[in-house]
Amino acid sequence: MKLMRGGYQIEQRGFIETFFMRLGLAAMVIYTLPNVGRMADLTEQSRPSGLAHFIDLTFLADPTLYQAGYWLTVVALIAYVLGLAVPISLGIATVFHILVMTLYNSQGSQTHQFQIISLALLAQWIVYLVGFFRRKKLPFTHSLSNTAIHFSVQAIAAVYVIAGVIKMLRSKGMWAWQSPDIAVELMKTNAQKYYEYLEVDASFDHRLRVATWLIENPWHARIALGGGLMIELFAFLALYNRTAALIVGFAMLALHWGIEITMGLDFKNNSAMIWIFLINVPFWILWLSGKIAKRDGALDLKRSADFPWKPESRS
Amino acid sequence: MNWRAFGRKTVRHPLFVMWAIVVFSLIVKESYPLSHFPMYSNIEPKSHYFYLANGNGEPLKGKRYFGIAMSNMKKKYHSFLTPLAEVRSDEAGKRIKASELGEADQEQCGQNLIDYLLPRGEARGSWKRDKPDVLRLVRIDIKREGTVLKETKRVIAERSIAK
Repeated sequence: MKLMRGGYQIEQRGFIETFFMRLGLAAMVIYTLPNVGRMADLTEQSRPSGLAHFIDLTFLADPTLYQAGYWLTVVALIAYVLGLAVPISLGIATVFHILVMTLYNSQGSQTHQFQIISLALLAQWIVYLVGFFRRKKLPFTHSLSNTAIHFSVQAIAAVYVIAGVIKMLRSKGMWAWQSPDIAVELMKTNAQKYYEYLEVDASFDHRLRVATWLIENPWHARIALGGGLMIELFAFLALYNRTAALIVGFAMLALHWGIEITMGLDFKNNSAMIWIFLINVPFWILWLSGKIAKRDGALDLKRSADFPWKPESRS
Repeated sequence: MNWRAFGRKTVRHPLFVMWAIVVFSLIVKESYPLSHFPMYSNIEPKSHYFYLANGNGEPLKGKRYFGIAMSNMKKKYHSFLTPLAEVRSDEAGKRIKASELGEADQEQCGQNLIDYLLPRGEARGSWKRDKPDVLRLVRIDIKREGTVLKETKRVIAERSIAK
């Protein structure tokens, strides 16, 4: 398949671009870790997920222990952003985020807000672990930092492709055809919201209008929602090159915006990860600066993002 | 065919990690940090939700009294149904889905949910002040018939509440 050749190469990223991507990821980790009060409630794992099947993670509910882990993670993330001892610093942040979120997701009600962050961390850490254990004969063709970012972008694309593929599998390819029946789900959401405080807010009428439109205009609904399904299924195109990442990134944001105004479901973590890794504003500012300065390529520091920040020519 | 070279080439493909995550996630399903992201993956012209009511059938402010969103309350209820369906499957020697469990089993899970909710309520002043005599878990089924949505109501479980 021609689309699978030519592009899809690991991007060469400068120090500043990588720094901002790491900073963004680190901020997402800190932002998503629950506060100590919320963690103190997680004293059981009634429906274990992932590692919670093998380890009782409720020890993380201990406030002293959790706070120690939290601040150790903050320090580790600062080191990671600066490129210091990345196999260890990134490892601490990855393990802590996954363990905490595994416990959080083992309470009986699953949430899908945090996987994208844990997977992006894990993908990067695997690169650095392989790099550490096989440092004499690295299996990667590019630098560890560039390969790690590429793995993170793959993890992000994977989240969307999975969501698309599962829709095709479970609906036996009929998802777009069935999509107007999302109206039923909207009315369910309305009712659930109402029974929380026995009140209706502005979003109630909005969902009612959307549900009515979906039922009365099934073909328009199929085209609009089918378009969203295509964005999920073809999310891997974001890996073709930076321009493709930018275009697919904005398409994904449009998808989330559409879901938010119709279903009232917000995907702020996903959107933030798209801004950081796909839309990648710092790179485009550097690229534009390079154009203005009539330089070849983006105005970035051609140095490794990892200590001792050695100059890099290629890769 | 040189399988070793093929394997090395596959692993080094620039999209290998993505496809590996996709395939692995679809196999292991919900196993954090992996997930098969099943939300709204099979849309049907029917759905259901739950709410809480008093002994007269009047709805209660579920989130105010128990600090739980109704969507999460539904997930919690289903977290009791799923393992019970596995037990019933083992007993019957064939797969029984959670949605196929009988009324007695549904009531048992409803009672489990009430067991979960009551301590949460006891930690909240609003529940302690306004406790009803009876707490009911009510299920509403919504179904689209043509362009009309129809609802049917059923009490899943109820319990007398000590003041």
